[in-house]
Amino acid sequence: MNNSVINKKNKKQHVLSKYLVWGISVVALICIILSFAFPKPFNTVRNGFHCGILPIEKGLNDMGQWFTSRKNLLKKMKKLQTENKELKEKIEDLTESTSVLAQDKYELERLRTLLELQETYSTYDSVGAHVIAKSDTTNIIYGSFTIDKGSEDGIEKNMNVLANGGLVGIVSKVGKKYAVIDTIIEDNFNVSGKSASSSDTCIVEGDLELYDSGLLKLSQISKEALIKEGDMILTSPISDKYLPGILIGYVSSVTDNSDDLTKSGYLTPVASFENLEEVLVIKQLKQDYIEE
Amino acid sequence: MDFFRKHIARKIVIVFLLFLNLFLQTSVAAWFSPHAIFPNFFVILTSLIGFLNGKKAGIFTGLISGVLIDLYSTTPFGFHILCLVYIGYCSGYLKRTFYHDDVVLPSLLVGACDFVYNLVMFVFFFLLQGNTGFNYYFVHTIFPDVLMTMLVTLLIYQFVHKVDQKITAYEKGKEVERD
Repeated sequence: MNNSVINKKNKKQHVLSKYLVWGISVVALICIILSFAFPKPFNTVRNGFHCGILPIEKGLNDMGQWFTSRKNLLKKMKKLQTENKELKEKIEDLTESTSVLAQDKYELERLRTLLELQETYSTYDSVGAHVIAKSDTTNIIYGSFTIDKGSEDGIEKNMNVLANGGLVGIVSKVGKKYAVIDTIIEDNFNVSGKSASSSDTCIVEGDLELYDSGLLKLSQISKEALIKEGDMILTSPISDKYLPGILIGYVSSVTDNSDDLTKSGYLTPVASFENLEEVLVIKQLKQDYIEE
Repeated sequence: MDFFRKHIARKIVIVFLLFLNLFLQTSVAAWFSPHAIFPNFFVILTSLIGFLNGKKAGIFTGLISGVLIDLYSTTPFGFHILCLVYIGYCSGYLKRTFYHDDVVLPSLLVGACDFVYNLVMFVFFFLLQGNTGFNYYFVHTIFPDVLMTMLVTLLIYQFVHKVDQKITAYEKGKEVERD
């Protein structure tokens, strides 16, 4: 008797959870369709949610920065010690050798071009922001981050983002007090670039398989192009989203393709993605730049 | 008060754990390199609570997890709800055949759930957008993700089980006193 009552109760629970799953599925599907059709109300709700959790995120971010700064300090100390030794040896070498002067000259030239670049950046109005979180909870979407500035700070979609003086990515979504940036290391992320020395164009592509080795893919370089190892790659003026002349990275190798028409290669980005903390968002949009 | 004990207390604990999870998965995960593999605690919790407490609890955990992720991320609203509610529901199916002292079985099942979840994510966010490098994703993202998630399940299973027992004891506390 008792058994049958329990069985009945179990069966009722079973049916109830079945209806529950069906109900939730239907509502979720409707939500998915609605969020495609009318994204605005969903964005408002998401905005509110982000505003609510922002203080906690910022606190956690400060904590993370404290940890990494400690870690970096230790690393730096070790590095400085070895560096010190090396430098002492180098001083002896330097005093003996005059060939170093030539090297210095080369460096001077390089720094000069860098300085010019910096000047072009500084003409753009920009705002600094902290990376506070990853933009997704899974490993499969890996290259996008949330920053702590949003439309209230004048950030708009498609603004360019820099770190360490190099291109990091682009603002892909803007909330009131937060924004999501997509980075150039993301799979299938394309930026058109050009070589600083020869003005040859190329496409810089993010690639999951390559970034583990710290590289990005370079493609669609014409066969006649003079791009060679060590060349600076900047964003190209033909891009519709990226401002011209932003440093992306340095060419690490170039090879001929089997089709004998184009070359491809690899690029080492300037920005470090392993520990993105602070980024610079350029407030100038490419569209406005063209109109001006 | 009795109602609170029986119906609300467990839910509050679950919601609290899931909120904790969200920050772990986003803010704390950002301390590491974007290529560091981070276990998916949402899948772990949804699946484990499904195993331990049955379908209804699994559905509830999946629903709250899904809502949190959907509110947070930029993917279409409702996608994660759908995935996680099914994970909770399916895990609930195994409640009766499952010995609570065994650690290997739950972590295997969590691994399976995580694999399916990643697969669905891959299909919707990569395959349908023209990226077909499945082999590479499998070896470098999905496989380590599943392994990591299983490993973490082995480690935190006892904790979740303890919390579950505590809540169960709390829920039954008053009834026992009356008897």
